[in-house]
Amino acid sequence: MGKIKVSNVHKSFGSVHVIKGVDFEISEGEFVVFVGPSGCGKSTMLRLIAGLEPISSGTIEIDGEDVTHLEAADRDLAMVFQSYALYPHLSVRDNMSFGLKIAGKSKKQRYAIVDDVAEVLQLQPLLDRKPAELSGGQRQRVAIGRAIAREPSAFLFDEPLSNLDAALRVSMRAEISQLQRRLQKTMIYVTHDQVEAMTLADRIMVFSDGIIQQQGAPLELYDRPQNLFVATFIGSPNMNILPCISSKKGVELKNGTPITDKNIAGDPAHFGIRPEHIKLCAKKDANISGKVTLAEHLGVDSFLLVDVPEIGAVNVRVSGGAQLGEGEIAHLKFDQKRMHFFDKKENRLEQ
Amino acid sequence: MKRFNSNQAFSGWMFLAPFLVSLGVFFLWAILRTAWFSFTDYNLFAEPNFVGLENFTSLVLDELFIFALRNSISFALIVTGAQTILALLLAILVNSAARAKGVARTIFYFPSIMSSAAMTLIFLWLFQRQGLMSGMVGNFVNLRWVILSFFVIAIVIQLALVAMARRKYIGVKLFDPYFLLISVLVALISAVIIRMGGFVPVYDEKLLISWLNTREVFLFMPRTLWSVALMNIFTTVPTLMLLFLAGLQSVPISLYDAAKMDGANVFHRFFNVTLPSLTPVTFAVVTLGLIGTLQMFDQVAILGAAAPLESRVTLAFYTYYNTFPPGGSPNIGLASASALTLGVLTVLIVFLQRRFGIKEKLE
Repeated sequence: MGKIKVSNVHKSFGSVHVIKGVDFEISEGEFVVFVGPSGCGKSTMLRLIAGLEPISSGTIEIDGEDVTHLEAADRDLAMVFQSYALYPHLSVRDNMSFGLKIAGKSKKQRYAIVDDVAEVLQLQPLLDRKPAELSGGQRQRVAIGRAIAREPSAFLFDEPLSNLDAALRVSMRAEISQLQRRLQKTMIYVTHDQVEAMTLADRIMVFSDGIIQQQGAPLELYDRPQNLFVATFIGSPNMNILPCISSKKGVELKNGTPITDKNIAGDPAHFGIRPEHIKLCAKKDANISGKVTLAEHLGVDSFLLVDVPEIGAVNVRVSGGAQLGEGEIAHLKFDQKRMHFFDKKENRLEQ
Repeated sequence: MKRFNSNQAFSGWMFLAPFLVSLGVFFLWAILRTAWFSFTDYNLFAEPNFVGLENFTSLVLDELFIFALRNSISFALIVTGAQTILALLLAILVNSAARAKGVARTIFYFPSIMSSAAMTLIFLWLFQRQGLMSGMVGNFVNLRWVILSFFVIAIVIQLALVAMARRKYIGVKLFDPYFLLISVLVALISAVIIRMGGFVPVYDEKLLISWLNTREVFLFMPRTLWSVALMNIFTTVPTLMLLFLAGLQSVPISLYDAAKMDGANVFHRFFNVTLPSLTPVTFAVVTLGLIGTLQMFDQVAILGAAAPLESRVTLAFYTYYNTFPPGGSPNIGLASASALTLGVLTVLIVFLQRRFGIKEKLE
């Protein structure tokens, strides 16, 4: 239950082509996160799967059945919305049992199910309240409860934590993760927050410009981004991208600084290195050096912005407290095993 | 908080003055005067003498006043109910129009911009004994079998088409618009053939309905007032529709999405999302409607001799009628008593509505 297959799906709103040919399969019990910048089509893709928008072309199958032209109600999916979307005139109990009521379950059955779900989500004290009397976190918990009560084959989450404050977001994230392990149901989760994506997902699909740029396990995206977009989107602070060229002795930056003596097949044009894969070192070991223009000390880590002559600004993340202050010279060494190269078309070059 | 100095206070009062003056003169003073006159025998010319409750007892004993009371209350309830429901349905219709929403809104709003006097004159003409309304109803009655066959054929074809399609595809709706178009067209052609071929009886009765000039009472309201109600609804619905439209546009879309995911069909969504979300607007529409209809005056006044007095008299008209009785001397005392009754009645009905009917806020 909960196998979802999307084949060559396109979606246009009028003359705006939003989803430009998307294919993927989600297996039973998998937690998939759609991530991408706003306007990339991730929420639209979710609404297409939900059946809230008709698709322009392509097919969607759930458990082997073609549901492309089925109404949302007939797809056996439940959805949690960013704005909670609770019925304002109904109590929490009736909100959670609304779908069951429409499905024709008796009051006794409905309330029994709701009581079970309420216990899991610790909602019992709130069951008789109206949504207006709940906090944001409680409302979203009720919305999740409403989804669970329906016992759908898969859950769809549309940026469910975006309206919550930072602390609540972290605890709700952990709860959703636990819930998924407990329910073992397929979940598709849309977010623009890459921390949510990295922590929750079995598999992340990075959307941009209406297509999937890359999909894979969170660490796979981190370690082997397939193109410049994914490289800079995943990871915080962003990966440094520096222009580079092939030379006789390997690859060098455009000012002639050698980066590696390995030969990279293809024609490397962009060199990528994550801030956490740059080390401070002695002057003689350095790849590049520059003056620190900004130092942010977070306690565990420090972020340094180093202005390298002829190259530009380079972000560096060093563990521990303040080692260098603003205005000092930083000597930087790249981790040879953590380098990324991309060609002119911004695609990854394997080493 | 800092107290205002006298200069600031003076400019404050100056800004409030226009409103305070009009409130004082046209509202508070008018009420006090009316209340005082209702206990006197004032007739515009002689000095008023205090007569106690005499005016109120004559009101209760006056058959015309009882008619007016009955007419006003039934008119208010019927028109408010009907116009609220119709305005809501019309707003949903206009709101769901995919194209030309603005044009639809404008067209439906037209009746509201006409003056009620002009509208009443047009309706007077439509409501003639041999007028358009009689003709329409007459046709309907005479062609009842043809019309019935049209509907039966349309429904049968629609059901057949949907049933056939459902064997092949899932998710075909009962009111699929393309099938509906086919069904209606076929039914229309069949109805014409049935009419031409004389397959069902067609009657040729000349119906003469007195829409206005009658003393007949239908249910608890004179037929004349039913006709006036029709006209009143026609002119007020568009304005109320605009209020509902504004309300509809503020209903969050995600609520409809959530309801769709919960399996709610159009009717579930209407009763569980649209209606509850529109509660504050509905309250405003009902309250405005009750106040407006209880004070109904202009349309029955313009009817004039076209209808008998007791069939068209409302409380507001009764007040006017006693202030300026045709051929008699003004009875300001009685008129004031009835005006006061109307005021108290309005407050009472609005209060009862709010207490037991539609609430101001969603709870």
